[in-house]
Amino acid sequence: MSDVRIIGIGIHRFGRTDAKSGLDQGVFAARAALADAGVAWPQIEAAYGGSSAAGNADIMVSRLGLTGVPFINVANGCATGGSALGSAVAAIKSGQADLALAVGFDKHPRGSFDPKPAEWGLPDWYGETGLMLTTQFFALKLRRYMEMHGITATTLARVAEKAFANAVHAPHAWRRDPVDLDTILNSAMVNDPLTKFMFCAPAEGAVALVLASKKKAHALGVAGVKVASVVIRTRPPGSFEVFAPSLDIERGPSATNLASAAAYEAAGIGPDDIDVAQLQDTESGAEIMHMAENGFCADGEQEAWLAEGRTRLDGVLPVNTDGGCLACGEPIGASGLRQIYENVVQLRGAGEGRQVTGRKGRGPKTAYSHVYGAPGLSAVAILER
Amino acid sequence: MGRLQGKVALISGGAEGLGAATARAFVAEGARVMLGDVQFEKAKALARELGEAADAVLLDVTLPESWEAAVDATLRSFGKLTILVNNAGISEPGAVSDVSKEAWAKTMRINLDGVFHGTQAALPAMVAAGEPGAIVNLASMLALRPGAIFAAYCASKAAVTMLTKCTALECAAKGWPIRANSVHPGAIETPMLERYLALTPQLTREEAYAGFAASHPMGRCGKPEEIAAACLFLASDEASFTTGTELTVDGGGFFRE
Repeated sequence: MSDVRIIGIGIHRFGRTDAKSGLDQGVFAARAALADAGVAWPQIEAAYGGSSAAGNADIMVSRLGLTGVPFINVANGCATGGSALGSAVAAIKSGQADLALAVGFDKHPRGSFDPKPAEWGLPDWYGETGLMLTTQFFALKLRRYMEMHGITATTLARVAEKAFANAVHAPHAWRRDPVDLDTILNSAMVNDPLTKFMFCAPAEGAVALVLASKKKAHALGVAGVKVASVVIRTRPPGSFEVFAPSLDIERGPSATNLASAAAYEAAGIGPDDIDVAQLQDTESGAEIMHMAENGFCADGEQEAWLAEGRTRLDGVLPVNTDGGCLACGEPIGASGLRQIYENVVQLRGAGEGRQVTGRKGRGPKTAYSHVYGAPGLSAVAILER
Repeated sequence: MGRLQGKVALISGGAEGLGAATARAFVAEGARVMLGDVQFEKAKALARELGEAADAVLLDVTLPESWEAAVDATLRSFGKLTILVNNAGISEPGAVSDVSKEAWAKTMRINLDGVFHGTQAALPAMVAAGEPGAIVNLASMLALRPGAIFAAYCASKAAVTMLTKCTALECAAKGWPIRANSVHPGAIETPMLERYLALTPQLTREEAYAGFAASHPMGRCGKPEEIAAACLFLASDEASFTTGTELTVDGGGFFRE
């Protein structure tokens, strides 16, 4: 089986772009990725894409060209981008295609997501208690985690402070002004313990990637960035995930635990080998919990990690180097691919003001990305230079 | 400006001997060089010595996937590939009647298959570079005249000579701006020669050396730098109208048995 390379990346700025539809933004990103790879749309042999709230991705063939390419729409919640990537990788590994496109875009209205209980297999009472509102669920889950592992509100604020500080240097980010710790802690409380600066917002944006077999990459004269592993997992028994109606007495691992372990195994490396990570941070506490769930530290150690700045750009493991969801917002279809985009930028050494140096100081060699969402779904991808 | 300014070379067997001398000459003339070798630690040490312009990769020339990885490493480190030097090779004595089947197969695998795999792996990236490129294959004066006690070596190097011409013709016919030429060294003062000198314990090193020197009309063995100079010329744009040729660097040895 061929190994797979990312040879082109394109992004449409995240945030709000009133004049452009989600599809417009997706087409913009696709064209940017093709130009970055130095290939033309008719050369693409397979395409995978999706959005959650902005329509079918495959209609972009009417803008990019009616080449007859197989274009598969992907709908997999927060793992839509990861699933598009995984499908493109599988198509190349199987030999079905040598050159593929993965694209994700979205355009959500202002305000929180408004999922319907019935669409998630839940009875109406679950919605009536307010738990379909994801901010409520995340705050409840986080409050419990903080009590069990000694995490303070200051640590949550530090996560947000870091996100906005990093985003200053990320041209594609939405919120690019630094916000100080006091402002974050004293801003409007949304769901205790999370203030408004500790939450990401549904937003808009698009990302596209051009992937190639190693053979094709060489024929284009490039090495590209290697996809060492991409893994998607759903929840096992005993996990406690978004839209879970109860907490089991006997706890088990999370979807993230499974995806993470499988991704490390497939790549043949461990958390200590990772130079830079993008972790799902729909709110500050998610980044905190995901640091442990992905194996980077033990539960509770985040308190020291954040206080010592170990996840800052100059730390041992920089996390969410473009500001993550907190600063970029969350266009569901594009969010997972934004992490991949950012990791490719970092591995290319093209991060400018937000460029990390890697554990050995000679530029990052490995990059980790993780998305997570309802109803207990996680995608992890490890890239290597 | 160096004679190889802006070029990126991949050299097989770059850790020592002719490969190392060629790497030094290339870097001195402005090229960036990837040293591929099964002696990875040794290649790495040389790359460190040569500085920013050099890097090393583990390369077993008999394995197509190892070549792919070496091309990959070159593209990763230096962004393109414009020169391939197929230098890695072995030489074990043995006449047709007594050379072991294993030695025969091993010689063919490294000396001939290695050049084929390397050329096949490197060509796509060299074509994609879209600029003048060159393949330099290390053959031997023993590709041009027989040496009865080196049957496998002579046959493998003669085959490399023809493979080089086929490569040159294909590139020219397809309009690829890539030239291919072979270099034919005589006995050169390298670790390979030292191993030969040690094969005859009844002779002192000086006596053994004199035997080798006498097989070259110029009465001496060659220096690695003399081979490197030939590789440098053929790899550079100075040789822009030279392809498919055999360049001897053997003190005239190719016309004497």
